[in-house]
Amino acid sequence: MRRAARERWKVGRIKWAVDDAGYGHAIYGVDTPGRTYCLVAFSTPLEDSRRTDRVIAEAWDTSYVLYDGIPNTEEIARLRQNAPLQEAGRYCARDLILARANKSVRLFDAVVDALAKGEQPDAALLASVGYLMRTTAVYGNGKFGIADRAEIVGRPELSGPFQAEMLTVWLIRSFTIDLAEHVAQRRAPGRAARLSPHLRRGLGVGNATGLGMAPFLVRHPVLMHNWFHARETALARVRSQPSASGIAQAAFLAALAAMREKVRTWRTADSRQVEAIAALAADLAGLELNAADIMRRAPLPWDALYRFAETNLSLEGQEATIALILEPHGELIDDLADTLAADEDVCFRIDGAMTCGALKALIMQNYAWTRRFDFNQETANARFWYVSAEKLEPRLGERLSEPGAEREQPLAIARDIAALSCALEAEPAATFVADFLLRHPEWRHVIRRAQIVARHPYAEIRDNLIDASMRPIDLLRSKLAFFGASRFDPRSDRWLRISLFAGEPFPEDIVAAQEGEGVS
Amino acid sequence: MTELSLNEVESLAAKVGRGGGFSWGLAEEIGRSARRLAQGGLPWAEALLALAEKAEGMQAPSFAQAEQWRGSRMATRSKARLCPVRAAALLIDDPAILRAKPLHLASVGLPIWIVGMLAASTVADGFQIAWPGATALVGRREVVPEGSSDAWLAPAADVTIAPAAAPSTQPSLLRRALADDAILTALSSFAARIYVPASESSRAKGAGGGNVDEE
Repeated sequence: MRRAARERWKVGRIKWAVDDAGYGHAIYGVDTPGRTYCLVAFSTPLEDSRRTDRVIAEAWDTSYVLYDGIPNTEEIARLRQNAPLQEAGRYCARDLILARANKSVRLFDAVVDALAKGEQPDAALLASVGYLMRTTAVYGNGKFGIADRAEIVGRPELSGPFQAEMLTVWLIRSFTIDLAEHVAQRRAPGRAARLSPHLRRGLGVGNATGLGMAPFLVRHPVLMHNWFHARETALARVRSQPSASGIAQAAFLAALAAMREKVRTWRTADSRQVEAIAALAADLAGLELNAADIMRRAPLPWDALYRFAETNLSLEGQEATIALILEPHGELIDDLADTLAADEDVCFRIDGAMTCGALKALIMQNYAWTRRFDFNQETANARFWYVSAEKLEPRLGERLSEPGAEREQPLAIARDIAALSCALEAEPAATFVADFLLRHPEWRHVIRRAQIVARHPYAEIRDNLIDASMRPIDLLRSKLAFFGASRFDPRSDRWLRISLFAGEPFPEDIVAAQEGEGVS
Repeated sequence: MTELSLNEVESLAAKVGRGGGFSWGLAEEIGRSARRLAQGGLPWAEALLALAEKAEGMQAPSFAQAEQWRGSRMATRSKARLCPVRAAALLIDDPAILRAKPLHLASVGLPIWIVGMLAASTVADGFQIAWPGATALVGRREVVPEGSSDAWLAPAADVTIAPAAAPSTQPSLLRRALADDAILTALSSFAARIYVPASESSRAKGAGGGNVDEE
């Protein structure tokens, strides 16, 4: 969004071919200084019984492609044949991102009903859900034939990790609201209301995320390192500021008030998360009460706030505090956005000239945390990650009671490091890793990882990913947090819902701000 | 024919490598190798199927062979064909073997994989890899086949690897890959060896509970 404002992107609806019932297609164009992109959106009828957030779904209310350029009639016809099929379709290099979203039926219908009556929907109802549609997958990087990430990585506007995906979701948000207003207008031509700017701004796009994201975190160690390194660097810069200007303090307090407002609307049926949200709400109230006092007395005011959170607040409260103290410091930390991308190839080659003794030392130093697990215990070795033949998606199985453990994916890093350590015990310290691997190719991926982690201290999730008590949603949340996700709503221990872009500007708000009208 | 993204090539090849019996780490390298072969316009899909089908019949370099390569650089001929993936993995792990003089490897099975593996390794600036009828220049991240040849899919050959200057001009790498549908089907069956068939239990629990959207 910062780039869109800086570069004066022009975003607008260039095609609207949607019938009275809300089915058809629409195209939103995005003019950047270098290129034009289009979101091509399809809305199709869906029986209620087929509407599911999970990856096992085979049909969706809406489907989307972020297209490279402006599609002609033939291209739109091609996309209409394929996009609603999602994984079952085929795509080409002009198709940058593929996504789909389902209506939050309760809210979508209520909004349409209210608008058709010329009224605004109930604000409390709107806040309780927070979005009109939920994306259930947003695919990039060559999936099903769409463009490889290499195709866009050299384009400044899309070079950051997941920028193309986030642009797609940002545009989907506009489409979901335009669609509801359109259906209301067709139902009551001339009488229907438009959604008020305030209510509109509060709506985001929901997202349902499952296990697929967890293996991604393990398989991209350098990327994960870069993300967490950027965040830690940002935090360190802010904490070391010797003063807090009145403007920065006001921005912090405004962000805190906005967060309190948002947290009030978060709902979940997950009992653990209900408690966490309650604790967070109390934490934020405490922070608001004490912030001015803490900062006034301290030589490093932002550091003092951080330390207050560390000592007094729940984990949720601590993380929220970090987000809040970063908020007023864009000028100090925004450059770190350029450090988020990673080239995993650079670190891929194994250093076979390292000795097994040096490798052992490196593991001792970087993987001491794995020694707290006893993999002879059933609970520590309770699960296995696998890819399902049915949907080609990651799943988690119970090792003792379900078949397939012999086809386990190599994601149990802690266990594998422990096993590698045992294997290395039998090796002379002077043996070169190259020779060890010649005899033991089964350790190749583990040794590669250990060497990568030695240079990237934030690369590893320091937990046992096959433990009986492991909750995959905690892994998903860490990644989603980097996307600015809010409204964390676990639906089981393996999938969850979140919201993106709620409260953030729409493309037209950014245009309005450029024209001096101010972002509402 | 089906057009694939390069990421699909890499992902499929890694699965086929694992399904064909290679370790996870080598399978990762097979995936990256297939991507480089595809970028260089070489027959990656045919080569991948041949690798999966013949992997079991090929053998890794012995420690004695490795020592010979490090020292005398004389070709050592063994009864079984040398596995190109295992041999190239050693050369990647211990690049000193390749740095000075040309290396002669005898009876390498599917030598095209030596090309792919070294191209995916970023091990050094450049190598020329040749066997009767085929020559390829391999740079840090690319393969430049010299001339056209039907020898790329040779089942076995004696291979010479020599240090060479990196390609003088930036080669025009392909950005998409093509594959014959019958070969893709055969590759998919190797890839499927790493999948776990669905059961009622896995459908219900493997990806989490819940089903129809209630909101």
